Amino acid sequence: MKKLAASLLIVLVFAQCQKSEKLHPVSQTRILMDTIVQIVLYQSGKTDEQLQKIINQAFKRMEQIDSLTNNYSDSSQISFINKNASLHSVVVDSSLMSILRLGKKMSHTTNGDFDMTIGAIKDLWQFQSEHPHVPDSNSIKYNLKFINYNLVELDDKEIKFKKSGVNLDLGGIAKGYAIDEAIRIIKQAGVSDAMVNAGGDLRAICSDLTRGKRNIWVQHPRMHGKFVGHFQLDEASVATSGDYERYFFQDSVRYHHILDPKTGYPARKCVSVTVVTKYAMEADALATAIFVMGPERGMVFVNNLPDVQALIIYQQNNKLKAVGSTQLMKKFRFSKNWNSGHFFKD
Amino acid sequence: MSSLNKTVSVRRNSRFTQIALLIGVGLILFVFESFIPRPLPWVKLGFAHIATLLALYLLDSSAALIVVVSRIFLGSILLGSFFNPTFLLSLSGGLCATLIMVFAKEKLNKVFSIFGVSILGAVTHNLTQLIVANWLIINKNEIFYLIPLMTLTAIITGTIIAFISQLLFSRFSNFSLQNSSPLPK
Amino acid sequence: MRKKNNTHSWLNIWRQLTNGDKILVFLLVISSVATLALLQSSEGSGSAVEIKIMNRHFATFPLKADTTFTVIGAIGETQISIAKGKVRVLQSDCRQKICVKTGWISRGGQLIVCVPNQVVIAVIGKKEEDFLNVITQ
Repeated sequence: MKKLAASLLIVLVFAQCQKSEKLHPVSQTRILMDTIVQIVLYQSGKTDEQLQKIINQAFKRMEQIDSLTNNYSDSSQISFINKNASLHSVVVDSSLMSILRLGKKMSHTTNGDFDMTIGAIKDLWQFQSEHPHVPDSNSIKYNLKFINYNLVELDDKEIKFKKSGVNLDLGGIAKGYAIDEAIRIIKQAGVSDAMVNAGGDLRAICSDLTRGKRNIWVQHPRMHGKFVGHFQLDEASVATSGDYERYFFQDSVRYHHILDPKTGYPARKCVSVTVVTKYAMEADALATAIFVMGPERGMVFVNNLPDVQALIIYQQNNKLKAVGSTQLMKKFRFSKNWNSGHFFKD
Repeated sequence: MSSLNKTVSVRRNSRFTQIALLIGVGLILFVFESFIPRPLPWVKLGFAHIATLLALYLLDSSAALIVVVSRIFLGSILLGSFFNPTFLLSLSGGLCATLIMVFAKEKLNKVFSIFGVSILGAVTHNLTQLIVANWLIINKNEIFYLIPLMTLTAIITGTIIAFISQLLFSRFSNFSLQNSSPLPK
Repeated sequence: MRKKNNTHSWLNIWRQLTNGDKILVFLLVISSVATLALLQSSEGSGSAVEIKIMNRHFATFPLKADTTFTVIGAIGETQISIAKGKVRVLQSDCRQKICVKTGWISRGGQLIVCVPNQVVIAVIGKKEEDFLNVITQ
């Protein structure tokens, strides 16, 4: 009896050891760009120290981009632009210029449903502060005049605003750009299997080591720690915009942080939008834009874009519903009972 | 023989007194234990169950239940934890442990000695508290990782408690005499 | 004879055990050790700290974050410190201070629980597979 038990134990321990030999990820997590950023590398033929070094380089580049684009730091270049670009042209760092160009392009593609000049309205709502509150409707109406990406003029190296009061908010685009840059550095260093995850916006590249094994779980918009479902992802970027990330209640109405650039108020048609694209810098802006468009217009928009897939969760008669691109829905596995139960009204 | 008759009559007449005494013993141990530092936060000897075991083996099942429930109610009033989570943890753990011990002693008398009964009680006590704590406050299934550790400590504490109880039986031998020997073996 | 065996010494405990007792202890030890061995090998050091207060999710911190902060629970304050990949409770308004005595925790699945103040601090595991299950939010 005792021999049997002892051998059982040994078998168990051995089984465990073998299991953990398969993959050897090297990772680091840091707080960056107001969120938690995690970089994971998988590579055979490189030591842990070498991989850590690569991760450090990637983080360094992300920190650089953060210091250029952080709206909340007065010393960042974006703050300088917001203060001075209406008075005179401002010479812009080349990485920031790529972000600005992309921002303008995304604002144009989405027909202003994502707008890089949303800053003037965002400042009114103050979602970052401890006590956000609904701004009065006159100031919203007034500030809407400053929300138009066409007010931003980009030259080769310079930026100028056509009106004073314009305020850039690069938000997710800068984060996406930083993720793409990190991936570029990781690839350059000869690592072909990695993931960069910045607070739920992520990009993965893949080799045979992790092919077919990486699953992306979509956060349930109304139940913390639960998921709408998951899908398998090898090499692509994913971003999600949800009304659950930042919100407050006022007079028993729920106000969240995804604002419609055309009304200045929270967009109400969606609950959460997940977008899968090649580059991370596109994913976040597209998710925000589709959120503002709503399920119907959003799906038409997505179906007209090559290589973009989306999953839209929206609320109808107090019930959660999902709609998505055919390609994504084919591999999406919904969690059991994800949409059972009633959720609170907006 | 005459002394036996005498004590039996004492038992009949003063069952109430005996239970009260055991509640007192349990209460003192319970409060005493809450003041001594623990070697590890999850390890508790469960001294108070000495009173439960004494009640179970010297008196009967219902006495054991009365002792444990009264002890927990009075103890938590003394410690100022009445009807807060700590109290609910004590109550659920103590009650389930006692029920299991009663069952093991009454129905599986031939299978388990006082040591087996005490260990079963200790394991049940820990397990119940863990489940209730998870349900009441923790809500994280990670807490069940503690089950093997707590089971191992319960084996040791259960043995210690049974050992101490058994030592006390000799001291209590003229306190109560049941028809059968207090020890199942 | 039996009475003599009952002279209460530690050595005599073994002789008093019935077969049922022995089987019970054996089964309990084997199952606990086996589960422990399984858990030990599957959980490395954790990657994040999840804090729950009064049954509600409060925050998740990476274990890399070096920070000290105070949260308000059911009866008072609990001061939590995260440093060098470990987390502990520095100070708590509870009476028994079990949470403070728990000390540092760092392995996936480890917990600090303050029952009176209803604060739960959990280290979330870092299994190899965890990196392959990513949450988008």
